[in-house]
Amino acid sequence: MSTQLIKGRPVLIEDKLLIRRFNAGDMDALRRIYERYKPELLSVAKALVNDTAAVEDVLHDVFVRFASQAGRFQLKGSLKGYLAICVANRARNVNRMDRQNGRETSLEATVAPSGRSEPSHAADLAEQRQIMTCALTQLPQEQRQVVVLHVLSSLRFREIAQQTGESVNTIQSRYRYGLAKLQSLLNGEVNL
Amino acid sequence: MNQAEKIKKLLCSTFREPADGIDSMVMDERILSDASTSMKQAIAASQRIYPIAKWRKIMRTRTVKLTTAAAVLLAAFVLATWDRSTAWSFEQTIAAIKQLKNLQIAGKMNYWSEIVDFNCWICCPDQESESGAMRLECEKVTMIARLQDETVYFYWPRENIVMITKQGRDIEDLKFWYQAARMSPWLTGKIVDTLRLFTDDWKQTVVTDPASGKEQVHVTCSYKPSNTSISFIVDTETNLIERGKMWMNLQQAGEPQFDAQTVIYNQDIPDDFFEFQIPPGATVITQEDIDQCRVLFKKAEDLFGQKKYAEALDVYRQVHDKSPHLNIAVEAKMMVGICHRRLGEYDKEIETYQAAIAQYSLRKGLGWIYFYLGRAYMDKGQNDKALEAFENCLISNEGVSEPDRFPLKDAHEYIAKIEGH
Repeated sequence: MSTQLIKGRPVLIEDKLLIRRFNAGDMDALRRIYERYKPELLSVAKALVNDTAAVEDVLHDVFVRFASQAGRFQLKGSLKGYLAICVANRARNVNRMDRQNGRETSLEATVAPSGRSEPSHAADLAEQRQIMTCALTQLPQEQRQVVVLHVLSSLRFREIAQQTGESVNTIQSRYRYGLAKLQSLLNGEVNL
Repeated sequence: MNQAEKIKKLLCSTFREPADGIDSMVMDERILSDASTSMKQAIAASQRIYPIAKWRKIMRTRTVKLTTAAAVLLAAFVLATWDRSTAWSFEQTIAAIKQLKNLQIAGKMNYWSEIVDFNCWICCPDQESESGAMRLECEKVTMIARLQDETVYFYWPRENIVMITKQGRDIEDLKFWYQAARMSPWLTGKIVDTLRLFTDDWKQTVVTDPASGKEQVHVTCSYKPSNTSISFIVDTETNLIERGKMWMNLQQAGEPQFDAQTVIYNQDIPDDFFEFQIPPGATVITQEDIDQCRVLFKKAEDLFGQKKYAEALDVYRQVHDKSPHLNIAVEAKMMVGICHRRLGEYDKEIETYQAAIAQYSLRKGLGWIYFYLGRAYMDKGQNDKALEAFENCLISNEGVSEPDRFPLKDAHEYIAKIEGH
């Protein structure tokens, strides 16, 4: 933990400088924030949104909403944590709307082989992704969110707790239960 | 590798792959284009509601709390009489305010965790000219802010140091209040609406002062975004504020940050009262020095970010040595210690923190340094010293509004860890 604390500090300082510029209307600051956090936020969105087609929209909505706060944005905690939680909340809303609209998750739709990969690797990845997405959709939303945020976005439990307003113990329990359920769901499906 | 680790690895390998089926360039262009538009609109909107945004900002700044508090007292004075259901008439209030030329506030304030006596004089704005000034005196510091030349002078008598800043945040804030005051008449324009919009829990009660038998109005309100609460007392005969307090919490708990025990209106103040003479032998820090330090500090931060710790250490040291009296120097000194740690020079790390503590004595900005000192002692197995440092970290941050933030919560955890052994 100690190393993380010190390691985290320059990032926090840079975040604060970026936010200061962002609040002053500096477009370059917005671009830097986007480029810095896009990869992790995209992986969080992919793991939390049931419909792949909506992944880009989630990221789009989060950044447009974030940009609409320019001039008055106040950063509490890390910027990465804030944006990751925004993505998680938006993903939850998108999934909820899909359910309300009677759109069942099409696992086939989640598998779209990348043109950049070798065909066999793409097929393997597509299958793996189908299995993982299927398993994740069976977790309760709260557990899925904590597992994804902790593993893919490397957010500490304390930070997730701070951003979501839950206690650290609750977050840790959700993580443990979520991971255990994933284990039982994936047992036999993949080589664990 | 256990099963949990395998699942984590599987999650990463599945979802951290390049975005399947997503054209990254098209997506980037779309998102950045829409976000830029949204940002431009937001900035334009924030400029339209400049007074409101500025008010929010002012309520968060610590260095200008006195200016704010004085303005709040005045604005609150108007607010207290705004409600036509009370015995006051609004027109009476306007008439009273128009007569206001200057005021003096005396009482106690929190200066870097220490409660000190202060005196503050505020020259009310002239309707025609750009004149206006404020003078604050306490045993630790004298501050004079002048609108004519947009300059703020700070003088620390113990150290015999003068700092002269131009067009900084302090002068910007003061200018804002004066601009607001010019809205006809004094503080009755948008500020009233702004205050009414942004203060919460507004309560006012009419009571009789047991000492004088006079009728008074007690008002309390709070402002959640800046974790501030205010109370003040208005004399219903004169319609003037008699006393006021401001706390950096919503419950009006503990010692107030600002306690205006006496407010005197329209004294005869000599013309040169708001002028500043540099005392003989004083060290003078100019705006140029401050700007140079900021540039150097940014350079050091960049080097640190690039993991060039030896070079960063050298530049942080230059920042500190150039202007050791600036707040940024405390942070630079702390970063020197952290650079030593990254370079594996653990004894030098401890020496640096100790030197910083000795140099700057106990003040709020030292909480982080105490925390890192405690950590360094813990690493060396010196738990008694570590415990003392963590406790000092807590002491130097007493009264902060967010006790769950770094380093307070972490210090608590380390203390528990040491005491659990």
